[in-house]
Amino acid sequence: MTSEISTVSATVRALIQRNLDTPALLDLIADDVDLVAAGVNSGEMIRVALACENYLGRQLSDTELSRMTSVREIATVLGTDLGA
Amino acid sequence: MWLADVVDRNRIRYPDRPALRDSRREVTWAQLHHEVTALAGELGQQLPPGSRVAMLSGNRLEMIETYLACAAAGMVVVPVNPGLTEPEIADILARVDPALAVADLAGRGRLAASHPDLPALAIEEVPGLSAAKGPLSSVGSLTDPFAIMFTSATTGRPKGVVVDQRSLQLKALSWVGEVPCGPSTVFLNACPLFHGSVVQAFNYLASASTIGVLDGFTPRACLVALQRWGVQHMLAVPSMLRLLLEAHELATADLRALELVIHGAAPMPPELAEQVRTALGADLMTIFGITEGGGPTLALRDFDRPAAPPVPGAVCVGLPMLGTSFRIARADGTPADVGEIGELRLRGDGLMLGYWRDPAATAEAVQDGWLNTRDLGCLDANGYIWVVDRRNDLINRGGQNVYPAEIEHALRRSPNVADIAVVPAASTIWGQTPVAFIQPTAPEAFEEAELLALCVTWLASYKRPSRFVPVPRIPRSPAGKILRNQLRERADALIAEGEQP
Repeated sequence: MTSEISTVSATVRALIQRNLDTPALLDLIADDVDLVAAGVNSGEMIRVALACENYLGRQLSDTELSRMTSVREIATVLGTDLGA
Repeated sequence: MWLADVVDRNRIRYPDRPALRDSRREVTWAQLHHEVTALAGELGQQLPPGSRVAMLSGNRLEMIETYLACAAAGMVVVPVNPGLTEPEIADILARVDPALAVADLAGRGRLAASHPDLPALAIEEVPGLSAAKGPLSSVGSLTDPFAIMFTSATTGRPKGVVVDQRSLQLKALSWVGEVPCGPSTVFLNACPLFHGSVVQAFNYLASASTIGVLDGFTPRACLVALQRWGVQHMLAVPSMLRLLLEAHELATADLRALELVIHGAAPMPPELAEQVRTALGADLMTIFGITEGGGPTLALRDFDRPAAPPVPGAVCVGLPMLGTSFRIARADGTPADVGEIGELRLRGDGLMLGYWRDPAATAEAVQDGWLNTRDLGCLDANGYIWVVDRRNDLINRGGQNVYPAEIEHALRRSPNVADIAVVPAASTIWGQTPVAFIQPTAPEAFEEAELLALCVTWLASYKRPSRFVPVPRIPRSPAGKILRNQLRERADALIAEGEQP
């Protein structure tokens, strides 16, 4: 399971970086760290959520959206949908 | 007094009608009266009039109750942006010296760690406070300080804008003259309640309208609120509206109740305005507001008919709202002719009382009763006001203001930075975004990660530059002044090349 998450995490990191004003910020943030606490702003988080929906081709549920606080949590949400 | 009178009057006339709503609960005018009376009583028992009360909370309807209670009790409320870093919050609190904080769980946790001696009242417990029956008494006068709203400043250190209830009174009465609204109107404030735009909520409360409060803006939360609450009027910044248009849920949303989208804080691109009109099926209204002016001061409606743009890129901001006078002033202060570009100045009872404990800055901003907005504007042949450009270097990122000096000050903490200049660059998403040009002490000393880490520590996240660009030398005039226009052009080109942000 860990390796599956790691595979998805690379995709997620690329997806998140594309939606940050300063992509290099993500390089300073470990997978388990809260993104907002680490300096990602609320507007960027909205763009990440929209990008995840576009990636999956469906709307995320409220539960999924509320879970998306770290790279690992986002990876889990997307990984689950991808059957990882 | 104004806000206490608003609560009292509407409690008597519309006791069972909803006054406030958020995701947690709905409060009728009778309940609002009870809870505001209770909180005002609590504050009055603990503190002498004029005490500063810091408010550190995420959006919730009790924030509006806290504003109202402070007004009734004669306290000065100091809303603090919870997105600020610890050093930024500490600076504000050191300057206003609050006697008490009203805070949510997260805010109390932060204050307990950084300001253990500051008593904190749980904002979640406001509904449970007990109150005596009877009219809401109020302390002080209409022109006593009511709130201190912190706003970014050219000096790099935010300034506290002191406003009184006379300003709120004028804004509310002039709003009624601008937009028909009343007890059956539902208004959604999609913006943060620590921000100066909270004045709009008080404008609608004065008309006994129902105010909806979002916990935080997300396109989904906004669409749910618009539908569930049958919102007719909403306030948003252009970036929010752009994100709303991207939401998947918009396709199936029932927005038939929505009549008016009020936008401000940043220029609305014409193509976005058209998309919003079509997608949301509502009229648009532009408001030009400035915290030092007490909130909205100029307004443009869809039915207004300004002349053609006087210069390319100019933005029409309409007419002064009732109670506000304006002047396009030449450098010597005399009124400019039609079509002549000058400084936009405002006068009226809605202006701030001044900057908190900064008479020099106040005297610089307000001269002979006229507030210099620092915007360059002109008047067209039809009598409408246009904003041509910012006279200074203010960066407006998604409706939030930040001056380059604030960012430059934080980045100068790096021993590897020899010189620095931050300028705004155009952004399709946020309107503008900061770009930092860095002259390192040596070419190999430039390290983006170090600069980013400084931003995370010292600056709220919306102030973080989107680019750090190493340059051999910051361009300066012979007099040593940074050639910011040159850097702005370069920043715009860099952002355009890289698309995002």
